[in-house]
Amino acid sequence: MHIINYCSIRKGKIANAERVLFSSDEYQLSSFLKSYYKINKISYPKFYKMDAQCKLAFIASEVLFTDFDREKYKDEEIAMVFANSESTLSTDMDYWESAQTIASPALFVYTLPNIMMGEIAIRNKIKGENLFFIAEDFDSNLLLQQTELLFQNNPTKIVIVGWVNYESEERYLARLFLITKTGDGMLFNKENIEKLNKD
Amino acid sequence: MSRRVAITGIGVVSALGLGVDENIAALQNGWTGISSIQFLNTRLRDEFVLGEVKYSNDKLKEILNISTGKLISRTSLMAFLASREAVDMAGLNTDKLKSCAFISGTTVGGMDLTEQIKDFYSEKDLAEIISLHSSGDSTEKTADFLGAGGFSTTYSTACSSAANAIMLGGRLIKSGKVDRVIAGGTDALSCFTLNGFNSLMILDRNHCRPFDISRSGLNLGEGAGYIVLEAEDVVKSKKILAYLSGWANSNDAHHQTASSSEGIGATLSMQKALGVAGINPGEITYINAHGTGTPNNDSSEAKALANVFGKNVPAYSSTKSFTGHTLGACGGVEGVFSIMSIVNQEIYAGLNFTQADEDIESKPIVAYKKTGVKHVLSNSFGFGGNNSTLIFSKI
Amino acid sequence: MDELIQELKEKIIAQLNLEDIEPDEIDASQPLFGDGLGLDSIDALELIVLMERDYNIKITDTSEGRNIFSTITTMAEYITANSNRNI
Repeated sequence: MHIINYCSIRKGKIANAERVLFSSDEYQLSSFLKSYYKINKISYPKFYKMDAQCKLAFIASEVLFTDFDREKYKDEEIAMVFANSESTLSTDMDYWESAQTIASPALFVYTLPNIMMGEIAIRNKIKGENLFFIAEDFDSNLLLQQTELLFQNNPTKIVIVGWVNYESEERYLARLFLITKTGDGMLFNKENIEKLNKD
Repeated sequence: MSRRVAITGIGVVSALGLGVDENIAALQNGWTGISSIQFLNTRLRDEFVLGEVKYSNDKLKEILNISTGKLISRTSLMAFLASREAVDMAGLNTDKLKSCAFISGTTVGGMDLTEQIKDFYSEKDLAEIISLHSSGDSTEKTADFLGAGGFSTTYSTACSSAANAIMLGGRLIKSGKVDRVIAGGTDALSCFTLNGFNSLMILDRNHCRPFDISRSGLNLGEGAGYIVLEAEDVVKSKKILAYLSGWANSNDAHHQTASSSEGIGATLSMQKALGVAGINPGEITYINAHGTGTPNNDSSEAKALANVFGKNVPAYSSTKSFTGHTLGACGGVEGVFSIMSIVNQEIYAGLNFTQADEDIESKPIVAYKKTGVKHVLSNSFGFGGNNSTLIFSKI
Repeated sequence: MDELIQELKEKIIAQLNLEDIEPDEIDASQPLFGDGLGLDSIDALELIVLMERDYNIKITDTSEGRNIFSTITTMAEYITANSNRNI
């Protein structure tokens, strides 16, 4: 298993494996991601409708797919496995507040953590497997195990794996890896995951 | 390494009752569990029918010998009952449980407690209730309750959560990583989900009518369903109920909540599961459909059935017409029903189907019958386009 | 009526997070769904919430909604004919 690309988003910084791609003094996630969206001229109006956690996952996936030859793979050859600790707590609370008067369907939709993978799947026409689990902390062993199991399964050739957790506009973290089953480049193992996580 | 995945225990709690026997008797006799709201404390009480488990939390605690003063979510209580039944049936002793994995799916976690807090500032048990809120809490509590000390994790992929938990269990055994797994899911009814599904306008105020021309939405339900999976080589002389032979998950990549009209994701997941099981579509005897009763799901799923099975769609039905849609638990609850279909050599009809939809070529079965059952396919589809299929096979 | 149309444009932009669109760019007679503004079924449900919250109009049938939300003009006409609120 090899790492094709990596993206982390934390503390007002978007980085890949080599360098910081974008940073801002503006830590507030929503405005920070919006600037990235505008500067990079991403044209996907649905972005504005997503909740903060989906926006976080979405932008990280956009970074991962930069320079990636998506057309080389069939829709069902790309799988995703994500995890976090908070599920969708922040949006749960916003939705629950709306439900005290009239429940908002647009908020309710985002009270499921796997919706972020659904959004990425819609954007990139990904029809492979997608799994989401809840864990206390970022657990490289668990992510490695899940990725390995996905690759044992036909027809998976590419896996997007990682952690996307939104607690508040100041506290958020995305770490996504784009992994290929065969090829070259940095090995996807515990050591390299931890090295990348050090930034 | 490739090992066969044997099923040695099952347990279920739903609106049809506590335990496999009560549930199966209801399916055989056509007794629905859906009724007017008795337990959920909601302002929508008089507007909808639900598939509630017909016991208060205090009653469930009493059955489990837990003091009624103890704070514990309904989601966990149902998981305790269903998983304990499965473990007892499999005869797993303390020693075997120590290394046994526990994988559970849920969407609401401890929401049933959190949402009843009237005032966050004056609630004396606030910190404890919040600690029970996480989706991971019911998994941890249940693993502790059972004494299952192996690998444990929680899947949260909407209505396919339990099916995905069972799929992971199958994979861990097949690849030789573990010998024993208890897998399934649990979800309690909550005002949170009732109001949410109401806002999506996909609830039927009357009893749901899967695949019928007049279908106009789903009924929510609650429950838990767990199965004990063991590598065939460690089962020894114990009774095997059936095998978990196929599994798959695919994304529909269409819409956050709606299924594609062509049933693309569902078609892929059924085809891939048949591939994992190594069987032809024609070998499936019965399909426990996702069949929520919404116009969109049922037409999309029926299209997918036609894509996979052509003109020879096997006998199929939706048992959600008995239990309501148990959300994150449905793959576990319906997994148990699918396994019992093999054990008892019988197939269960859905309720409330009277008139076919002319846009759907196949028709669900309308009468319970005894018949030779070899392979059963069970679908669970979730929001986010998350589609899962499990296949259970006769020994 | 013109005032209501302007008000609806602003409300729809806010409610549906149409961030890159200005009220003046929306033609009141252009379709809201499909090729027009590109709204989807979740947006339709949010419009139902908007009608209830701001105009006290309850829509219980989604197929009824489809006609009402055809364009901003049809929405304004429906509100004028049915609202209990003084506008």
